[in-house]
Amino acid sequence: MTSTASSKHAAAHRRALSVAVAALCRDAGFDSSTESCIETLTEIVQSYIIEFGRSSKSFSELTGRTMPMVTDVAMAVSQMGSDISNLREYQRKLSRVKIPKQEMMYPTGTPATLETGQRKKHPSYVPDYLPVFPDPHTYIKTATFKKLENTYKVVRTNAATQQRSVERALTNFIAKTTDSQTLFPGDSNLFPLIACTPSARPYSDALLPIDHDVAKESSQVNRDPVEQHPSSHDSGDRSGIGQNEDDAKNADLSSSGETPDKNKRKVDAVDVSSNPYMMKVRKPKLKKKR
Amino acid sequence: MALVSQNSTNSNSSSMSSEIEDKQLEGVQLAGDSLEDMLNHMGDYAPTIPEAVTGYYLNRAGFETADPRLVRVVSLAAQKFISDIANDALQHCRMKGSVQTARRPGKQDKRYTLTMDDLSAALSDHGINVKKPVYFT
Repeated sequence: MTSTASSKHAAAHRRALSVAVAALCRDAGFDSSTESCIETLTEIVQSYIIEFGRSSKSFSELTGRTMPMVTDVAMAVSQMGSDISNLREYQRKLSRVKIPKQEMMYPTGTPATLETGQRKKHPSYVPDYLPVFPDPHTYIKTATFKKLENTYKVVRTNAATQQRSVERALTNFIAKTTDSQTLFPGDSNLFPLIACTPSARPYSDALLPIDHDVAKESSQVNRDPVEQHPSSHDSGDRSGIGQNEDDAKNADLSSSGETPDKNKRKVDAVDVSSNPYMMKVRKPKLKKKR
Repeated sequence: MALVSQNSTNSNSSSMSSEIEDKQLEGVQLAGDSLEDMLNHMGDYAPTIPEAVTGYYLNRAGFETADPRLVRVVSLAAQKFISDIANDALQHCRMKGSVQTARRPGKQDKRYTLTMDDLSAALSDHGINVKKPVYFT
């Protein structure tokens, strides 16, 4: 027990004593009093009671006893200067007069702290007088996120599903924005297919040799369309701004160049001019303020 | 009072030995009797000073008892002490005549305020000297 606890204890008793003293003054006939008077009287009463206890204890020890008796108390009363007979009369008088019972204010208990879980009990080797264990949430750590599974199977499935959904989303976007061919004659929205744009000279790709640089093709993002400049074809040279956009889109569509280059390049040529969603962004002209 | 108390070591007065002593002490009420009486009447009322409070202060002095009526006797004695002082202070207050009256048609309640002056006068009669500073710096 710390000193503050005992002092609080003493303060509480002191306050109760002041209340009793004030009640007695009221019964005597006073309607009000100064604070210092009540304090003085409380101090007097406290000393009186303590002195009473000490002297009655001394009287009991004088006769060789440890626990005081009523006779010891009576001796102490006379020692303090009061009369036992007067005491009896006083008691009789009191029992007739109704003293208003002072309602003692009991201090509100400390609010129960939130208990989040069951506290662990002491192991057998821990003595009981030691404090109990704290709430388990103070020392147990639980992760709030779900651990990512690193198994090969799960990773492959996730990658495949992601790729599939990306492909589907992009093809749907292109089909909705550019020309589309319908699989089923009636409903146009059900399975839209991106329209094939037949080239003017379909045999040119087959006849003319294409200089493929395999290493460059796999690593580079930029790739040129063949039909625009068949004479001077080099996959790494030309890179217009419009072509950059298309090539970037091609890279997204195919992970490792699976779709045939021909279709891709034809789509590039179409997309640059016709698809309004794929046109280059034009910033609005700011009017100069005069 | 002291004589009567000395005879009270034997609280049970019925076991008094000689008749002579009985005749001598006929007129005197033995403290033992009165105490027994008082103890029995203790259960009738509850003292103004709570039992817990008096018990706490008695414990501080080393007074431990199995009989709760003794605690009540102590609190009663303390109560009487304070009531005596308060009554004396009231007498002083009345004598001085400085009373604030709330004037109402028909009724007039005299209000007495316990001040340090009256209290110190009453306490000095009981042998307790209290002197408070006039003002605090």
